[in-house]
Order: sequence, then structure tokens, then C-alpha cells
Amino acid sequence: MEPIPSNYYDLFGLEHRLALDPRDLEKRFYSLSRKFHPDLYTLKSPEEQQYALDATAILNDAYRTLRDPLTRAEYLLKENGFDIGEQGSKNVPPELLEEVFELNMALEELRGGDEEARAALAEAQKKFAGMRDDIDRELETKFAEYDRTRNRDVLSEIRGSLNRRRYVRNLVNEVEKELVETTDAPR
Amino acid sequence: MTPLQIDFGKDQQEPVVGIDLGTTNSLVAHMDLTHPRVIPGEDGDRLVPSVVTLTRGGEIIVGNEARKALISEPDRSVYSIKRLMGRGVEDIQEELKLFPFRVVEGSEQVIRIKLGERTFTPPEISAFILRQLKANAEAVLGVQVRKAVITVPAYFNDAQRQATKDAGRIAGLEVLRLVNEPTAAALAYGLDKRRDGIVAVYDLGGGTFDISILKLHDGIFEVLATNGDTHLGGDDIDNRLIRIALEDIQNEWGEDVSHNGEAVQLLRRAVIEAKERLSFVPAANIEYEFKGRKYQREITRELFEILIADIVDRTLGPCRNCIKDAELAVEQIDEVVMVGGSTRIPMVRNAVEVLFRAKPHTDLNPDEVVALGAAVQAGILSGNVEGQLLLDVTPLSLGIETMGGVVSKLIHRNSTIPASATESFTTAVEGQRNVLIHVVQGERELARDCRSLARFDLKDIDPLPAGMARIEVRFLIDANGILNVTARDARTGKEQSVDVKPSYGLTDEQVEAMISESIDRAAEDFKARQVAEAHVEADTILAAVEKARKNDAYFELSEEERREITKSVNELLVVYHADDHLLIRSKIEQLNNVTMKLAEMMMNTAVKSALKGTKI
Amino acid sequence: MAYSNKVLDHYNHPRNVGSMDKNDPNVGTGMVGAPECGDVMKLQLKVNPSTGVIEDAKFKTFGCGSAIASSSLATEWVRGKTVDEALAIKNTDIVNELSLPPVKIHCSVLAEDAIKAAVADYKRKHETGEGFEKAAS
Repeated sequence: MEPIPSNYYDLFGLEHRLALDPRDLEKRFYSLSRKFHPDLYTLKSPEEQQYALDATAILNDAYRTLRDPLTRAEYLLKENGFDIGEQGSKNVPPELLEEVFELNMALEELRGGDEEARAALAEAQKKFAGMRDDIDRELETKFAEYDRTRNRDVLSEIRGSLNRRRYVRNLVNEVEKELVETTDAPR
Repeated sequence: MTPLQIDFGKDQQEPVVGIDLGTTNSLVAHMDLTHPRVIPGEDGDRLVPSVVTLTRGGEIIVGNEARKALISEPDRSVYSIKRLMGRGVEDIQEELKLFPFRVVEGSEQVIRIKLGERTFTPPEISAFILRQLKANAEAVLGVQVRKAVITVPAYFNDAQRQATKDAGRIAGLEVLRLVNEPTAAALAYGLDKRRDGIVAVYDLGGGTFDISILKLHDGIFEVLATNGDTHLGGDDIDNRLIRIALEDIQNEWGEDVSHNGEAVQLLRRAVIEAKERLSFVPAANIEYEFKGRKYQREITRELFEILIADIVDRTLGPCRNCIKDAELAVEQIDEVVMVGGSTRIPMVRNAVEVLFRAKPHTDLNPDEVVALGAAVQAGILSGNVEGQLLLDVTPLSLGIETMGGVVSKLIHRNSTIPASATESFTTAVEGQRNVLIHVVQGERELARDCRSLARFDLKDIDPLPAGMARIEVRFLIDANGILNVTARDARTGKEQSVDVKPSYGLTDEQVEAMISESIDRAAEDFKARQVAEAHVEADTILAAVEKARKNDAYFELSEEERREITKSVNELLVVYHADDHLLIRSKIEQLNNVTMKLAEMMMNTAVKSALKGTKI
Repeated sequence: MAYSNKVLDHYNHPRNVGSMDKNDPNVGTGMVGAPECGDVMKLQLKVNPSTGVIEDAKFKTFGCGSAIASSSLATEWVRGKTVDEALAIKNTDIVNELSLPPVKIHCSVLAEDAIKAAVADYKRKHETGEGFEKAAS
């Protein structure tokens, strides 16, 4: 029973890159599953069964993390010392906070409003979704740039974009929730 | 006259059976050399109705016999027990309005059901069904069966899964794996096809609805997303029909029979018959007779569809959510597999066809496909089926209750299992020795809207200033979809003891007590079966001897030889009711020996006359 | 998990929600955010320039209950304190008062940061003006 690499990239035998081919990742995931899955250890010793369970839990967590470009980027940032948990508000540009605050205020005003507010909400949803898509495109470019240059400044920019994206995603979710609730409510 | 012995070979490994423990019917299947096969019961029926009766003699009967008793002994019988598995009293108030469960007053943490003068928990009742299936498998396979794969609805939560596993343990079965029903169906379906693609499994059972979307690739069955409703099924359709019939009857007879268990059971049977016919004909009659009075009503398919439209509709929301969670467009789904008896209803098929824009597959028997899949999974686990691997998901998010009753999610729904998350906890006041963690399952933001799983008490924490202790808690959902929690002190690295208080369900001690009780019973059951088998053999040989005594050959024997035969017959008759199969068998053996010569003589005569007759 | 009534009260009925004119020279505004959960918190202090005592505090937080309770508590605590006393409030005080679970400790950090940012904003306004804070600190 060889020890399982705790680093997700190492577990998959991959270079630590931000852009990954999803099909290649899936292929590796399937082949590692065929090696570690608890179903293949049912008749083995309790120690081996525990090993299979632990290894597969790590494998599944790793696949979940690396499959999604955003969680993958968070993971790589953390590896490189850009840990989101530690940074607090220090790395968030004040303009972004102002912008998010204003957007939230606007959203709050629309809440509980009438038909007109609904139209405005739908408008806001479109706008936020557009912002999110812009950030995604920006991230894609920066991923490629980092993989090419391994420049830590790019990572720092990615950190900023990811923070911004979180805020925007929250806004999108909030608006969606609001729109669903007003739709479900009896007229 | 020795019965045919089938030698299964001593070195053959222990069988692992696959069991579909259904709301309405249960099945057991096993893996043949290449294919899964359903094992029929003694009566030849492949479906064992999930009905349990405690007879007036104190005996437990299961299946078709119990189903008959449901009408004559409604107070001693129970059906659809699956609806109560792993649930608390407050969860089941709706079911109690519609189902005649006799819940014992004051059963809080664990529901207890009254059957005659005794009470049982839902896992114990399910264990009776499992034990019957185990016996059916043992009778056909000729060896003891101790290991099984049991299927559960994909949308079952932790407590419901745990209850199912407990039922297995109580029945004397080591449950090697709980498999989600739609996933099992996909496994049975995909076994021969060996086709790659995206498959949706729509499973409308007796009491539960599941939808799962899987990606099939080179023997890997990866579940992408699952959704469902654990109390939606064919039972609900029956209840609709029963309600209108009861109203009619009240109008026609001027009598409310809804509180008469026998009357309702008979009516249930009548509406089910009509419902089943309606899948094939445009109109069917509910034909009902109770205590000499008759009620008849024609139900057209049109009326039927109006009655059940909202039930069918309720399955579509989970389907849409499931497609969304799988991050797919409807066009990307290649095939839809239908599972569960209710998918025979044309309206259900149409709704599925419209939603998925694909003709649903119905070539596998929707009643059997889950059990067959369970057998395939049993084959995978025992190494008899190679190349296939199931990667399933957890249907519900797992979280802990935090400030203000808000849930902080640790493992999200549709995560491939096994899945884990680690969270650290600390103390709020100096010298605090315990931290209580409330774990919930569900998608809602507030803990009170989610399903409470358990409270974990981290005990004996080293007394330290507030916030200094650091306990790392690992939440692990295993391949059965069941939560395991372990904790360690991050400073010392030493294992931290955790006390689990399940919110619903049995504690380990309770299960242990039920197991030891059932082991005694299992031994009894096994013995009873062996006595019964010895009786069959004794009957056979006694009948044969009786017949031979009229044969000419018998009179050619010496008086001594005839006396020996008479003596052996009498001795066998004496021990016949001794309840000791070994004793019976020894007397059978003895009778066999003393009639050997007679048998040979009769054989010779028979051969001679045969030769004469054919004139070679 | 047991929470004191006080905490739940802060959560259910947050105090001092609102805003003040950020251009008022006696108002310091702190705007902070926790990107991990998408929270934003605005905390404002109104300071009596002659005494340095915080006379009023308002906040507006978009975020989870813990973030709202943390900022509500922070506004209660800073009232009547001098700006320098307010700076002495630590996030651990908030954690202890609210019994925040580890997953929500960052919310208390946010509240502490918000106080610091608001004080800094107020001092910035006065640095160029009377400049007495420099002497005070």
C-alpha cells in the first residue's frame, strides 16, 4: 500500500498548471478509480479497505477541485502562498468594495418591489451575468499567461479577479433567488 | 432413493446476493456465470411482496402468504414499511393519514409498530423480509448466504441508509454495499450494451421517486447527478383511487368503511388491479365486494390521468434540477431507462418522453432491473464481474449548524463518494471540555429546514484558554453514502473521542441487541428448515415403501427381511415428529438400507418387463 | 451549539444599521470585504473632534448572520470610546462575545478591520486639517 500523494496535481501525475485538458483529467481519474476504489477491496483485509476508502476520498476531492477551473485556481494559489483564508480584506481593492456595496444597495432597493422592480431585477441579472462572463474570459487569458510565464504577479492578478468573481457570483445568485421568489409568490 | 446432490464445490467462494428491498415488492438475485438472475421464492414467484404478518400462533410470515393475511389479519400485518425507515414520528404524520401503520404511542427517537401483541422497529420488520429473501436464496443456491448488496433509493438520507444497513445486520447479513436503485438499474442495463454515453434513469417505485443521470464510459458508470423525492410513488396513486372509491361507497352504502382495516385492504387490492389494467386498456372497473355488498366503478384512462396528473408532474421538477446539476443540456442525454412498476403507466412514459425528448427504454422488466443490478454489483464486489466500476454520488449536502441556526456546508450534494471534508473546532470559554457539533443533511440555509443527522460530542478536550484548543474533525461519506466522523486533537495529534447521538434511528447497542435476538431466531429458522426438508424426504421414502409393499418382489423377500422393513418404517414414524432432523435422517438412511435389496429386485423386474415389451 | 440570547438578539435585531454622510469631516468610513464568502461591510464613526470620543456609529453589512452580528456588536462597543480605545478592540473579543465557530472567525476579523479602516479614514481627514491626532498617537 503505497502512500497517496496529498498534493492533488501530484496525485494525478500532472504539472502544476492552471489550464488543464478536462478529457485527459477524466481519463486519469477513471484509471486511478480503477486502482483505488473501495469496491475492489471488499474481500481484502480491514487495513486495505480503510486504505482504499481514504485514498478514494482524497482522489474524489482532488478530482472535484481540479475539474472546475475556479476551484483549481484557488488550489494553485493556495499552493503558492496566496491563501484566501488569511488575507482578510487587505487584498481587495477599495473600488471593488465600493462597487459591490453599491450593487448590493441597488439590489436591496429592488427587493420587495413591484412589477417595475422586477424588470429592473431582470436587467440587473443580465448585467451581473455579463460581468461574470467577462471575468471568466479574463481569467482564461491569465491562466494561459501564468502557465507560460510562471510569473507570480499574474497569480496576484488572478487572485484579484477571483475575489471579484466571488462577489459578482453572489450578486447573480441573490438576484436569481429574488426573481424565483417573486415568480413563485401568488399574484 | 437418495435425493440428487448438487455439488457446488467446496472451494467455491461464498455467494454474495443482490437484494432489492422495495416498498411494495422485494427481490433477491445472484450472479450466474455471466448474467444476473432473480431467485424465485418457494411458491415460484419472483417478487416477494414486502408484507409481514405475525400469525396468531406467533409465527412471522412474509410475502404472498402475508399479503393474503393483510386482509384477514390487518392488525397483525404491515406493508410499505420502507416509508418509515430511518424516520422520526414527526416526519411521518402525512403517511399516518394514508397508511394504516399502528405506531406505538411514545415511540420518539425510533418508531415502533404494533403487530398483534408485539412491537417492532421498521429495521426489524425489514429484516424479516430480508431473512425470507436470504432463505429463498439459500434454498436455490444450496449454501448459506451471509453477504449481500442491498439497494436503496438514491435520495435516501443518511438515517434511511443506516436503517437499511441495520436491517441487514439484524437479518444476519453482512451488507457489503448499499447501492442506489437507479444506479443499480443502469448497471443491469449497461452490462451487455457496453455502450458509452449519457443515460438518465427514471425510477418511480411504490413509495419513492429517483432520477439519476450517469455517464457510461468503458465500463465506468459515473453518476453525474441525482435527485428525487423519498415519498412519492405508486402508493400515492393508489391512495387517490381509494379516496374516490371511499367517497362513492359512503354515498352508495351510507357507510364510512375507511376505518375498517379489512375493508380498506380489500379496496386497495381492487384499485391496484384496476390501475394495472389501465396501463393496457382505455377503461377498467374497480370491482369491490365487502360483506356481501358490492361496489363497482368504471375508471377511464382519461379520468385516471386527471387524478394522477399532479403526481406525475411532481416527478418532473427533480428531473429538471438533475439535468441542471449534471451541467447538461437535455439533448446530450442519449437514453432514458425506466424503472419501477409505475413506469408502465402510459402517462408517465409520455411525460418522460416529452421532457427528455427521447423514447424511454422499457425492454428490461421494470420490477426486476434493480435486483439484477444489485447482483451485478455483488459480482463486482466479489471479483466475479470484472471491468465494471460504479462511481456514485451523495444525494444531499452535508453541513454543520453554525451561528443563528445557519448551515455551513461541508460536502456538497452530487459529490462523488467516498467524499470527505475536514473542519477544525475550538472552545469558546476557558477550560471547556466538550464541543457539540450538530450535523445536518439538506440544501436549505437554516438547520431547522434540513434533516438533523446526529449530534457529535467531542469529549475530554484538554482544558485550555478559550479558542486555544484545536480539534480537527473529519467528515467522511463512505461508498454506502453513510457518514463517518472522526476527530483528533491538532496539537497533540491524538485521537479525540466522539460520542454520536443519532437524531433518528437505532443506537449501536440497540442493533446489537436485535442481532443477538435474531441470531437465536436464525438458528431456529435454519433448524426448522432442515427438519422440514427431512420431512419431505421421509414422506418420499415412506410413500415409495408403501407402494413397493404391493409389488410381487416384496413377497419374494424373506420374512426376516420383511420384518426389518416394517420395523424401520415404524421407527421412522416414531421419530418423525421429534423436531430433530439428524435423527429423522438416520432413520431414513436405515430404511433406505433395508429396502435396498427390494429396490434392486423391483428394478430388475421392471427392466425385464421393459425388455419384453420392446422385443429387441 | 448554544448561543447567548444577546448574540441571537444581535443577529435577529442588528443595532445601528444605517449610514452617515461620508463627506462630513467628523465621519470616518471603513469599507471592508471578505472575498471568501462575498461579504461587504461598511462601518462609519462620528467623532467629536474636540474630545476624540465616538458619538455615533452606523453600519451596513451584506453577508451572513455572523458578519451582521459582528458589525452590530462592533458599533455598540465603539460608542463612547475614544478613537484610540476603539482601535484596541480585537477580533478575539468579538469571537468570545458571540461564540463564533471557527468557520466564521473571519467575520470578526472583518469587523475589527472595519473599525480600523473607519478610524484611519477619520484620521486622514484630520491629518491635513487640524492634525491633532498625530500628537495624540
